[in-house]
Amino acid sequence: MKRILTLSVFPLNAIALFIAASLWSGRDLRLRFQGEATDGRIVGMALDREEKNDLLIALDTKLDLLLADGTRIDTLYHNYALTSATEQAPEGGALRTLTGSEVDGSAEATATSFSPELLRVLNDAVKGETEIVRWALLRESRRIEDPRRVVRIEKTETVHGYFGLKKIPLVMELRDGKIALDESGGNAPSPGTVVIRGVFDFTDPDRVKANKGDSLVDYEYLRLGEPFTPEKRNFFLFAEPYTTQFLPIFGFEANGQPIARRSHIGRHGGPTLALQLYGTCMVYYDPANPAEAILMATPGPVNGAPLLWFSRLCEGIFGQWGSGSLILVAGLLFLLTGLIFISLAMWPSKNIQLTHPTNPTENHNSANR
Amino acid sequence: MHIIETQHKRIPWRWVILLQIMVQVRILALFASGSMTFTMRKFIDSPIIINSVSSLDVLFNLLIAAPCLYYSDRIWTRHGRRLPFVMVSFMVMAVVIMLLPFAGSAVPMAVLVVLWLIFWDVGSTFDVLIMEIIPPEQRGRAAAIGAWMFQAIIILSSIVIAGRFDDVVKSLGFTLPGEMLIYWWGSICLVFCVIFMGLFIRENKPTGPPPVDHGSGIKGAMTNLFAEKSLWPVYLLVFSTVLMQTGLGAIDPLLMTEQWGYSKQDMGTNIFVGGMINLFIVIPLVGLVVDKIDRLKMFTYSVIGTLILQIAYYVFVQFFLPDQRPTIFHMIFFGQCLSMVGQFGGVALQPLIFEYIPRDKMGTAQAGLNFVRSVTRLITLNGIGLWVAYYSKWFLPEGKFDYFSGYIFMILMNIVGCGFLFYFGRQVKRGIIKPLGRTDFHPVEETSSTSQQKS
Repeated sequence: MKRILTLSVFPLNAIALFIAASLWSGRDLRLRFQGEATDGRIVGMALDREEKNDLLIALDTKLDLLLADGTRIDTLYHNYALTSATEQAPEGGALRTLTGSEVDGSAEATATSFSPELLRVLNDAVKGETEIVRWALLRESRRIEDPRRVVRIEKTETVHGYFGLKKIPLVMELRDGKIALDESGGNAPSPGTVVIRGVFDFTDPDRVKANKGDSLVDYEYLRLGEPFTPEKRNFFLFAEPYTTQFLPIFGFEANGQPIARRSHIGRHGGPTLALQLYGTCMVYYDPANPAEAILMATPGPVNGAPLLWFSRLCEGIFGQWGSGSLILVAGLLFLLTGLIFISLAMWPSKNIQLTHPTNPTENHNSANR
Repeated sequence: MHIIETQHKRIPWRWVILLQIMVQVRILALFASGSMTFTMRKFIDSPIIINSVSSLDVLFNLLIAAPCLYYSDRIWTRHGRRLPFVMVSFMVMAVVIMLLPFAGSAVPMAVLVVLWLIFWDVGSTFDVLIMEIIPPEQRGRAAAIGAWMFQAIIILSSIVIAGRFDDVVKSLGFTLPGEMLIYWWGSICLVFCVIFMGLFIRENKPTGPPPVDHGSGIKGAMTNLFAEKSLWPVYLLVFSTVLMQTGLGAIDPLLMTEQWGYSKQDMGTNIFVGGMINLFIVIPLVGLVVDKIDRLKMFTYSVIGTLILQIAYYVFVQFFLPDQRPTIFHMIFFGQCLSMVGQFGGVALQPLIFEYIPRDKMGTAQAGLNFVRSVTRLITLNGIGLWVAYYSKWFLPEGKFDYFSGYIFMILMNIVGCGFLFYFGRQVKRGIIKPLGRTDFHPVEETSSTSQQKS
């Protein structure tokens, strides 16, 4: 009896772990394999703190770039999509409106086209945190031969959303692609804005030297019109302490109706690598109850960086299934080990010899155990 | 027979597989504990403290592991002599790692980390226990099985586990932070080992007498280690090699994630791709070349190569990359070059050291080498923490750290190590340091022929 009990410990633990894994990931698995699949998009971000939660629903970004020759380039983005761009020649010269294809680099190269380096600065600065903007400016500062190198970047982020919410609902309305909270509820939330401005400047070497090489010379954070000191001197998605949970809000269409839902997966201290704001994703939902939905990250194009793409792919898969699969792997380890022990008990090996058989009784006992 | 026992001359291969599974599960728990750097970073800013806490491991290696190993050779309980240490160690570690995600401030977190490090060393009798079960004739294949399983857990750890630290998953009305997932997974691994050893491993009492008890305490042991002057050159050689192997320690992951802005998943990709290149290209290549070059030459090439590569990497990142931030490809490229050169050195070093150890002093030498290695590592790990902290204080705005500046410290240590090595080489050339392991060794054939001549 004792022998049976001993041998059953590993398999019983395995069964317990399998049950835990299926309970933990059961809903996700059911939706993934039985739910309706549709394309989705990350339309917002919930910043889950203990009491005061924020819900980002739209983001305007303004970039003012000063080039070494005095040219100014001003660009405006809404939800990371370019809305307008102008270029002003040095010393108050002619103002030229830029087309979208000129700014994103898709237009054919002409004499007035942006250099690849300049396009990279724009791409980095629009989505990037302060460190990425610093690197972009540092990169530019080393291209001293180019008069059209960037020497100053002013980035202003205007975040539209609901701030200081007690709770962020699981399911939200989506009006014209924008999240809307039910204002008739007891929560009575009203939208507001957070404005963050950062100036990165390499035009004054003395100032940079005094700042120990840091190009971030000016920083301002206004929360609902009031000055605010965030945990980190950074832009909205990167200024939070580690304890803040970032949960993407994904939008999709179910039965012809747009719907937004808070994701059940997210990240501490910043947005996830795989689920980027305003990026695309796959959504699996229950047609009978569209609020029951999960999102699956799509790694996006390789874009010449296969290793980063591989990281995004792994983060997408294991951010979703990592916890369940680790419980499953633990269960498999217990099961495999238990089965080998059972096999040893049922079909004992003859391939065994004691080094110094001091006590024949002990050997006899060992062989019969 | 389903109970695994020690002291067998030959054991079933299923035992070997089971033991290798347990060995790898323990390594999985060790990998899970690798996230402690990030847990410490949540509460502690200073790289000095982070590296100091991590370096306690080396200190406990001397103060805890060595006595535990010593006494496990000399005691016998009804549960065996190695098992009691391992069982206590694993049970405490399972609880500690389970509690770690609940640490809300630096003090309880540091206490738990220190307890982990202490009890990891209490469980240092684990490897001896495994070796007592697997007989020498079966150890080769056991190691091969272990190496194969190790690759599987490298993949699991780098791809699945490493990137999970910051994750948040909500399910069944419960929020599971990635940190908790990793540590609890580590705890499950340790519980697995406890069940395994508690129910299925039994120690047989060895028949031979226990080793002699010196009974002179730590002071006596230390005096014994350093009293033997013929071993001093060997200690110098090892001291210089450890200086040359100075790494960033616990701040290495912070360099990649905090300073260069890569995610923990990117870090996993780096380890995974690097590990695969190591497995399929670097190790076979080193294996092909290893016997075709003189060992001393190989070691010299390795030392110089490491120094050159470290300088090249630092110069490349600091002065050639416009944003002073390498890509993952750059990291893998330089990492693999350093790994290849390091493997050449590693292969050459061990035989080289033993050339200078008299045969009758190998035991003392081994203990002394461990001591010198540990103390040097303790100094370099704390040194690098101090270096990074003060370098950042002087050259960077407040609150920012230049972890990459640690490379300057590494290069300096490498140069100092090279200096000692050069001195060692000169003394050997002058005949002041003699390869006693070679010259004092008389093979059996030689001894018998001499005695025949005499007779």
